[in-house]
Amino acid sequence: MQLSSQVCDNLVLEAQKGDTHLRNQLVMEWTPWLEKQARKNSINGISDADETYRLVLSAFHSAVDRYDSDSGVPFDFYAAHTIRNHLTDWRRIHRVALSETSQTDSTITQLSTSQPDDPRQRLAYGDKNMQDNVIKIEYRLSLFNLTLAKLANHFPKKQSDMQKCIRLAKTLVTSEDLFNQSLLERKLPLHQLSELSQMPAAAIKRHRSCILCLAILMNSNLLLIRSYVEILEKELS
Amino acid sequence: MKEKGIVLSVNDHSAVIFTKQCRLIEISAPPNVSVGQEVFCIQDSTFHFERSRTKTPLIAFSMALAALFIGIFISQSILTNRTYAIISVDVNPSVQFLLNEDLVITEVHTLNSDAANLIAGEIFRGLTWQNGVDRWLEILESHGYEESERIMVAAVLPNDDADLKYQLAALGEKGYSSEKMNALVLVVFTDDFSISKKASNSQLSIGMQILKTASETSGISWDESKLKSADAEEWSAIISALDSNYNVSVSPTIGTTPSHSSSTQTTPQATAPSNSNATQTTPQATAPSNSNATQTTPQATAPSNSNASQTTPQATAPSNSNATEPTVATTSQREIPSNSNATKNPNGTANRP
Repeated sequence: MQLSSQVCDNLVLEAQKGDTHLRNQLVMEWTPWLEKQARKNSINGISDADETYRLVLSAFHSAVDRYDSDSGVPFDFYAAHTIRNHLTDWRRIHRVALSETSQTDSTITQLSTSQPDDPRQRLAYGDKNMQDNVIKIEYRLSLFNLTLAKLANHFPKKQSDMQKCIRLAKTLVTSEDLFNQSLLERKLPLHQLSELSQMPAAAIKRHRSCILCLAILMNSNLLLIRSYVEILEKELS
Repeated sequence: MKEKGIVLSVNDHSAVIFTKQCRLIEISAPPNVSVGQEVFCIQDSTFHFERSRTKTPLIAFSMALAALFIGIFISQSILTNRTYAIISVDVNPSVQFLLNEDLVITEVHTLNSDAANLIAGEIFRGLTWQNGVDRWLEILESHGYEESERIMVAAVLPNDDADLKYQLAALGEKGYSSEKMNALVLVVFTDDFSISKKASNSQLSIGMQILKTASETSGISWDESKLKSADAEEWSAIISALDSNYNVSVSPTIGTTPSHSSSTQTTPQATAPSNSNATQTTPQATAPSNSNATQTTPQATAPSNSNASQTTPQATAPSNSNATEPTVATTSQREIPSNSNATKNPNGTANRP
């Protein structure tokens, strides 16, 4: 990718408006990057390189169509995650047999019931708005060198620690300036948080990842997460 | 534990879920789950603490290092203290020494209360077996057992330890002699370690167990009192019975010497006792490899790396010879090797019967 993010954003915006010439130009500019994405993703189940590239290209066009520069997520991050999710969905749809057998051993049960033979049921990223929200969360986490997978199973176990983390995350999110500052500087504002929460900086630093993740999740458009946090906070207090 | 949560990320194999307890968990994902969906997930209660990224590898490394050192230490102590051979000294009272590979005493077992009282406060651990035997006999001497005329030393040892076999044979040949005590030492040894188990089960020393086994096979009834009370004929029968199954070494010139015992003690060319059923009581026994023995016997066999000074040319082929040659040799023809501390004169030189 040779284009600066501003030029790239403008190109994407023009392409979204229906300028076919610009869209083709964008694809041409991004071809090496797309090929790299295809190579990166071809190891998982898609043996045909051409088929992979076709899927990657299709996901790229979808990313161009859906990209919102106001989200603060750079286009390359957004496109890479859209491609990754698209290929995940493709593999899930094409592994019907495997899916049906593993359903019985699943550790998850859905709350909403729908037709089990509905192919859309197997799409993990069928809800594009939700996908965009999650990509935004993942981008914000990436600013702190964190990922959802990395953070999984690494939240504090003690309820008292969890309570502290929630309190600190809330403090961070409530102060918009502080939250934006931490995103901009890519670090948790320990001293300001310490002053605001009257807690020692060392204790805050120890749970840095958890606080950041909770703050980012609470700042997202996922209302369910906010309600989970509110409920737990009430329970703990 | 069943938990409600919202799916945040899905890949080919797993899904990351934000639970109602505000925890992020990763579980294997079924094919019909999608991002943003609220699900019930079954998760065990093993959440992990958040850990420092710099401390964790350091802790892991130091723990691995500590485990390595502990492993080395334990294996060393196991190896050095592993029982390599067992030697019992029966005078009634009896003691039993467990030796490690360096032939150093690692444990002492007393077989009766008299022995326990006698060795109370004494430290045998760390002594060589010869020094241990010497110390035990000195204790006996100083506690009124100087009248004992017969001592039975029994050993269970690996078959390939020619040095220990030789040292034991030398002890048998030489007997025990000091200012107060002059006793015949009957040395019996075997490589059959099952004897020590049997002895332990019967709460006997290995020497007494060997006597018991021999009495069963020979049909003669013996017990430990026979060590003291056996007359020449009985003593001869005991030695003959032992000799048929074990390596036996006893000097014919100390104490009550059975009249026919010379037949088992007349192997002038008897060599290193390894694996030999020969009666190794002759003065011409081959010196052990590291021995500093001075062998003045014409038939003495000098090993290549020994410091022995030979005065005669008739070296003999060693070991595995079951032959008992008829030549009678006098014990005065040979000196006990200097590394056999089994018996010493007060002046510290090897004692000769």
